Amino acid sequence: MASRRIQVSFLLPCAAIFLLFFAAPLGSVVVGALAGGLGAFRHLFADPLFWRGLGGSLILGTTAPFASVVIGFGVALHLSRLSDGLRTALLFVIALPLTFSGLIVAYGFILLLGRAGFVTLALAKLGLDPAIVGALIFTPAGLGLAYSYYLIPRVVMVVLPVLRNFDQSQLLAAQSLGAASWRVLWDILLPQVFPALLRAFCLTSAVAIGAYGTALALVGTQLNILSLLLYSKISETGADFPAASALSVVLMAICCVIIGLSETAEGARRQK
Amino acid sequence: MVTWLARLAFSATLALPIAAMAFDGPELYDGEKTLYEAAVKEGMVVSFDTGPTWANWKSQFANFKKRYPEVEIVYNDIGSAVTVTALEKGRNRPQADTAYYFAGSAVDAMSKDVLAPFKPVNFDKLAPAFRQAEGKWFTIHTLNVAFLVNTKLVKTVPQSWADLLKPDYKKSVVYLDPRSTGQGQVVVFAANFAGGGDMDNVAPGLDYLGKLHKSGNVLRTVGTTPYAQFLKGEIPIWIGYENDGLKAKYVDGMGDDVAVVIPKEASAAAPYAISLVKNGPNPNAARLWLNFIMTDQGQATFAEGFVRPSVPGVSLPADIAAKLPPAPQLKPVDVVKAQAAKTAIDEGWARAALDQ
Repeated sequence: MASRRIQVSFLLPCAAIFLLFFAAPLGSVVVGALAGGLGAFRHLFADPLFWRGLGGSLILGTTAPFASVVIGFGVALHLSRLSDGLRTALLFVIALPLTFSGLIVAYGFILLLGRAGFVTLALAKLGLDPAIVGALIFTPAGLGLAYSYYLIPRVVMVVLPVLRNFDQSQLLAAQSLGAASWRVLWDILLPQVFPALLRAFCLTSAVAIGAYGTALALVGTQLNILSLLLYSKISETGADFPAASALSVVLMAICCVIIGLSETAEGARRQK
Repeated sequence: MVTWLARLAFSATLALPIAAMAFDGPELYDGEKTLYEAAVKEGMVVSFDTGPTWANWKSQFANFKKRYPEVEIVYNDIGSAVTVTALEKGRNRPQADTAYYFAGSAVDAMSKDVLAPFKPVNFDKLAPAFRQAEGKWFTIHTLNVAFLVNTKLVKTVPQSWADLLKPDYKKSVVYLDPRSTGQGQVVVFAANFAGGGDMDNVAPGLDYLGKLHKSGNVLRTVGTTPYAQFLKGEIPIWIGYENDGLKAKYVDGMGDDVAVVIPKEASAAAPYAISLVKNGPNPNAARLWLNFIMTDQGQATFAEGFVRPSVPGVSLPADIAAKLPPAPQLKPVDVVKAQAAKTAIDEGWARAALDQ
């Protein structure tokens, strides 16, 4: 009985923080969205910008994570074959981008690839027009590049433990039976690590769809994605809180569905 | 340790009551000495949102301290909207004596009944759109929409809104999003005045910006001030505020690489206002401070920070006057009507600029 009480008291701080900083704000957003009945949602769905934003977010939320998973998988594969010391050192470097805020990442890319950026000016010496090269980083594709910068480390973190625990002797066996190395990768390794890749994809996709700092600093507000549309509803000259809350709820729902997909896939696999 | 003790001793001497020593020379206005003596008894004034790097407040503080050595000035830099919230939350026991903000926020604050009426010196000279009739807020300077042109990236400097539509300026123009920023709203009014619109009809301004987007000349619209990007040379033309351009030119080292042009047809002057806070802790010191920044000297100090004084006809030193040439095409933004037009602008702009 006493131990149970101790257990509960250990739980309390965590529960309090969860209630105060997660459940309460979330609840107030939902309440705010429903303040005028379903009017805020109806208004939102009638706005053509919402549908374009949804399209933009989904494109960005699939392409950038997909590229990140492909690259991150390669990086993790390489890391899993290194010695422990070297791997730890490299992991430290790889994790570094996760500590930067989105705004800083955006300015870093502008300093590097913007119109007056280091790379752009170097390429200008080779005869490439800086007006064109320098504009690329401000396009949706450029935004995808900046996103990959902090999505790839997340992929590595998720995939690396799975690759390290993978029984390498299976690969050796396949090779000794004469399989080409791409065949080994495709038939033996990929099917077994696929759930981890899917999870990494869903996790990074949710991050990419929810993020707005980098987009705000980099491409500006004319890019149609939901997180920037949400930002435009909160203004220094007066905010439209019901619309902003409704949009937040929609954004949260999308991210929950994506995370839910990965968890369901995981569950289905475990039951097999 | 020693410096700490020295500091303690120093602040102790400051805290000692000293007989009020009035300033030398003639009064700036009638009753200045009496007001100063009453202010000395209060000892300080709390000035909300007057950030020292903005609009030359730093020099205002220094000049105020020089003239009134026994009144301390305390300030913060929290932003217009937050200032209104702070006044509202603290209405029972206000911390602030004065509040400075974009005049649109002053209208907000007035509706929350946290302001007291006060008519400082030169109040009667202000344009009617630049003051509230009872003096619950009044404009102390304006920020004016101008083209900030990076002459390294742009060959021919555009002089007018019509010029901006020319194909020479493909993918060159950057401005702030009207949906989320005050500056963006003012840009819409500037284009609107140029296109023949007025405070009651914003259609010409929205039409113009729609045309500008369709011409392919807009590089991007942004949600936060792109001043750092402009300095770096990322932006060919920024439809922004004159004072940012002059700051880039004279303070931050861009020199002749930047041209600041107030467009020929017309442009907009956005009023920045200040108010006496209702039931503030130091009402006399607050009045002394508000009067001071409205005197010709205080107004000229704003001009030294490249923002245009709100009081017409203030005489400026020759070098400052040269940097702020007369611009009769500037028209005042009426903030009460601007507030009413916000929804129309937000929706109209999104349609004209994004939905193509």
